[in-house]
Amino acid sequence: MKTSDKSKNIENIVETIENSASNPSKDKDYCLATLYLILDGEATDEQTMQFKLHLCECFPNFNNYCLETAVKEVLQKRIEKKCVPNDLVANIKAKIALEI
Amino acid sequence: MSEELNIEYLEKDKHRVFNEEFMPYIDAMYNFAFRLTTDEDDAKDLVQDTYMKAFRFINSFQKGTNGKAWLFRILKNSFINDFRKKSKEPNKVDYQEIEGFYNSEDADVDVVATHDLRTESVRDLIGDEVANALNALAVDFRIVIILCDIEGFTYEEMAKILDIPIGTVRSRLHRARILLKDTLKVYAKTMGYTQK
Repeated sequence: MKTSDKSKNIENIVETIENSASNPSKDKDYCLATLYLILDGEATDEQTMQFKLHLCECFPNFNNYCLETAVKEVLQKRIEKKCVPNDLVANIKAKIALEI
Repeated sequence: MSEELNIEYLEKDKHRVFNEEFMPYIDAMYNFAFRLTTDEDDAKDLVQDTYMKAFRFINSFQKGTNGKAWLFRILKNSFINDFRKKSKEPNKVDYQEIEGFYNSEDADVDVVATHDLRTESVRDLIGDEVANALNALAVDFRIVIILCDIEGFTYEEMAKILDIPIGTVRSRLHRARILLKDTLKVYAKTMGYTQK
């Protein structure tokens, strides 16, 4: 991420924290959006640090963090990975050969 | 995107690039196709069609760039534009409703709606139940979950594959996850994994 983007992110975090004091609903939306950024490896260091500090103080968000992590894990680990049919690669290569 | 550059490969180089840059992703491509079509024969046809298109348009692929994302984009477009039309009418998703999601009051309602899905219940689910919940989503939502959570693409790569802005990727993913949790909750309840 560019330095200017990081600065903007920090400004956004500060602004959101200031706003959230008077608007709990916005705070919840922001936490969920930040949670997804962290879960997907897209958050900045600052966002991750702020969020983890917040998790220690907020039980509902901690629960939500555990739930979202569990959902992502079952998607990655529980869904069956299909084996490629034996003839598929051979068929593709045979058709490619005919293209020449 | 890099595929807009045209490179004239020699015939022998075409094969080398094809084998080195595209064939290693055949497993991921077949599984992506299967999760879209939910049928093994259809998945085979879709992958074959995708690889044929990749070979025909190989001059627009720059060697060393993201071959996996390039193939996923071709497969997704083939599925949406050609393949799905043959089998049924596409599922319509109301994007206007979704795009403004972060600012809407509905966001809060959705969080509450999935609140009683417990982490322990999710961990008790077996693969078939998770796969069925995923398949129950409209295809546009299913695609973002597959790309992000199963295939591990970044938001930027997803934006290129889907040809939409990153903000739209995030809002679509956000909505898809809420819908998936709702479906998982139903499965968990049916299987007796929850107290409710």
